[in-house]
Amino acid sequence: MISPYMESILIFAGINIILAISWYVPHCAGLISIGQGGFMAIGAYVSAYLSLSGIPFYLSLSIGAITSCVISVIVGLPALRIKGLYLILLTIGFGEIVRIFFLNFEPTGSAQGLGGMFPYTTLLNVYLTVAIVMFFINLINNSHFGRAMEAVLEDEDAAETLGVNLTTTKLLAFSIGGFIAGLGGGFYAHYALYIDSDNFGILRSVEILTYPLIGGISSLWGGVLGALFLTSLTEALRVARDFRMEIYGGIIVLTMIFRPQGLLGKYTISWKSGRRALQLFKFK
Amino acid sequence: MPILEVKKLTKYFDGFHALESLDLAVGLGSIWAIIGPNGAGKSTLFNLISGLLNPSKGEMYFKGVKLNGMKPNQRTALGIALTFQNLRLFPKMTVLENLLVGQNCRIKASLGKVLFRLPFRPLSEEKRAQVFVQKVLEVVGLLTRKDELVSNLPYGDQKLVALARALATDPEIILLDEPSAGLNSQETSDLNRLLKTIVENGKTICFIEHDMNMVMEISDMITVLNFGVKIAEGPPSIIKGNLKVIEAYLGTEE
Amino acid sequence: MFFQQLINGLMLGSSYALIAVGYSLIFGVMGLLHFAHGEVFMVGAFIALQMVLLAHVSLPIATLGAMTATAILGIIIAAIAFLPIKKQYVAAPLIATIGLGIVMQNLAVKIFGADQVSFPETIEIVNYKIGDVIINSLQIIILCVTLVLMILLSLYIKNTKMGKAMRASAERPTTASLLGVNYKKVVLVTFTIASALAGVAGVLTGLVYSSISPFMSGPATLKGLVVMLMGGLGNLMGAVVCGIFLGILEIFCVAYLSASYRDSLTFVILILVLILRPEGLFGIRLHGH
Repeated sequence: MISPYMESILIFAGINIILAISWYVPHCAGLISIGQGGFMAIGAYVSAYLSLSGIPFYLSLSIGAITSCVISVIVGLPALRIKGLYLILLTIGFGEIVRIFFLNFEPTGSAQGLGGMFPYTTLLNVYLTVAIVMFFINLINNSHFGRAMEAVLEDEDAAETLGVNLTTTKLLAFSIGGFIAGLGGGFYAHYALYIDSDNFGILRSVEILTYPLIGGISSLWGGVLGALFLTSLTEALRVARDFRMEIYGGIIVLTMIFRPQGLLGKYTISWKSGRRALQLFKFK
Repeated sequence: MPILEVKKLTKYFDGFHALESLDLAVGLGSIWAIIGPNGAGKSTLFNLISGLLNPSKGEMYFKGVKLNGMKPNQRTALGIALTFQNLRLFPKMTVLENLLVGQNCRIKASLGKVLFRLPFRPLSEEKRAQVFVQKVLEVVGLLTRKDELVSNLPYGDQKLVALARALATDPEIILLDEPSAGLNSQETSDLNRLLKTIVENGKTICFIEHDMNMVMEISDMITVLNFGVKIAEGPPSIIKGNLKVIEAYLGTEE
Repeated sequence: MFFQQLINGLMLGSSYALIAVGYSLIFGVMGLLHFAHGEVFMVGAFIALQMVLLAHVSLPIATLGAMTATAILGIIIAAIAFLPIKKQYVAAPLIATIGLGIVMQNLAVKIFGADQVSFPETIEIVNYKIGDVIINSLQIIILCVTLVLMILLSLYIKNTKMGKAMRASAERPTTASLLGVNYKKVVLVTFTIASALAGVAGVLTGLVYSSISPFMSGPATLKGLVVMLMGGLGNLMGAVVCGIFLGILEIFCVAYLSASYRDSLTFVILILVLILRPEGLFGIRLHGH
């Protein structure tokens, strides 16, 4: 039906979509992370190690994601007290620490990496996961949790005086992001079939950032579309592949200059943005 | 018992005395005004009560419960709500959404309940919150504009949203920072009526104001601050003729 | 042995200090965390190397050439990643410099190759012995150059009109512009100075470690940032002191503990600073926030 080549592109795109979503959720509460690569690494290594030890795939995947989630709570705690630029630095530092950790950690192969996983990742389970995750995130966003996150994003102090618990709201957003990144890592490990610490460093985290930058940072679909677009682009164009990093870097710079809210920012379809677009037309 | 009490409340900023040993006891169900020239420490007082700032010295009590050390959201859950001089509405959210945030402290549902409920059956707490917020919107007169972005509203309506948002937390006392600033006389008398209605429903209102007419018209009690110190306190009739108060206002560049 | 390590640490520390001062300068005046500074550092080293290899110039001239090149590079970076960006998106310039850094590093790999290279032996190295400690002429030159640059920088900032303008922009940007300070000019000058310093640091580091590679930018960026954080964002003195301190700490770590912990040390310090004292040891000196 689909050629193996197409399927491969779509699976990588699906994994990147999952990672894009993992960036989006913390952002909902105003937390900008350039360290999702680190959470991806944790999910990848833990799930790979477990599946290699004979544990069923879905269980390994879940444990990997849960581990990532727990670590994200630990990382998130100091993140509560620091804001803006400091938080970004903390996430970058975290990502690098994870990379160095796995570089030296014997049980998962240290510098040689970990390989030999069985290819459990399929088109079906990746995109099924994407759909389920997006469904649940929509539920959250339309609930009081979602309103709390948006309030924290727009004005923390005002939100606090209205009764919003900053600690739980931020930790919730951050840990959901960690969990989802862990899922992405697990799927990646069981598709690439070989992982080493270099796959998940700051470059990966920056790559993850480019997905919402292209597709629009303020909506869930933004990152999704951005991930689809960028993955297809770089896999499809041979020239693009050699200059992949330069293209990513260039995209970042150009986006920041011309449309920091994401290239497709205003035009990305989402229920909220659609309603707001109508609002804008009303008064102008 | 006074609903809100502060004892010897003091706040220093790098050597600057914003508030100096203030004692205040706001009576339950009253409309209590805090007045004084600019820089007298009024907004600082509200920031201390709300929990956004920590006092250098002194204590605060709400219905006998000590507030010191409590985070702002805990104080809101207790029943203290406030509005800001510069409104601080959530610009990208609608009127309804702004108000619903206020109900967050009253919704106890956990994440699990949110994620795993039966589809298309909203949580009962969510329904309750929506109903409550609708009522607030009715009282305040914004029901027809509930789905509009707050940034699109005229200033007078935005001020109403700020007030409504505070009401949406289902508070017992509301602290208003210059509620009539920027309003014309019609809007101000509407506001006066609204505030009186709120108090008739059992709430207490404590507000900072510069509009003396409004203060004299609706307050039960007035506390006057100058340079962080209380210089007078009493019902409007007494404060009106108080020489010290007049001096304080005329002596500064108003 | 101890003093020997101290000297080595001082050497490493000076190059950290030079990089960190550039960071602090840029942050202090413009509130920007410059993530491409490490790439500027790396380019400086390569330019000097190319000049020595291709044009057969002496090392001092090559260093001056590198400084000039990186100064120009700094202006280009300012023109692309800072000036055109609307200021209300707080993190946007930072992210733009990350992007630019990635482009620069990958281009460098394509242009200069991914291998480690080193400066040819052009300087006659004389060893001086003071007690148990051996210090060679190269190290002395490096220390002197660093010292001189630091002194020049502080004199410049304290005494010249532009220096005063930079300090004004750091403390009160709107007032400064009302008083006629040309913000654009200040930005460009700041970038020029910081980048030139980074260029020199690149050359010096390349000399000390006899190795230059396109990948030296990564550690330089990270370490420079951590040093700046440790000293207090925007705090020039803090950057110098903490740069030297980190250099000494790292050398001791390698000598007495193990080499593999060297890089982790930086991150441990980063975490400790962010959690315990985000304002740094000497306090933040930044603009308007």
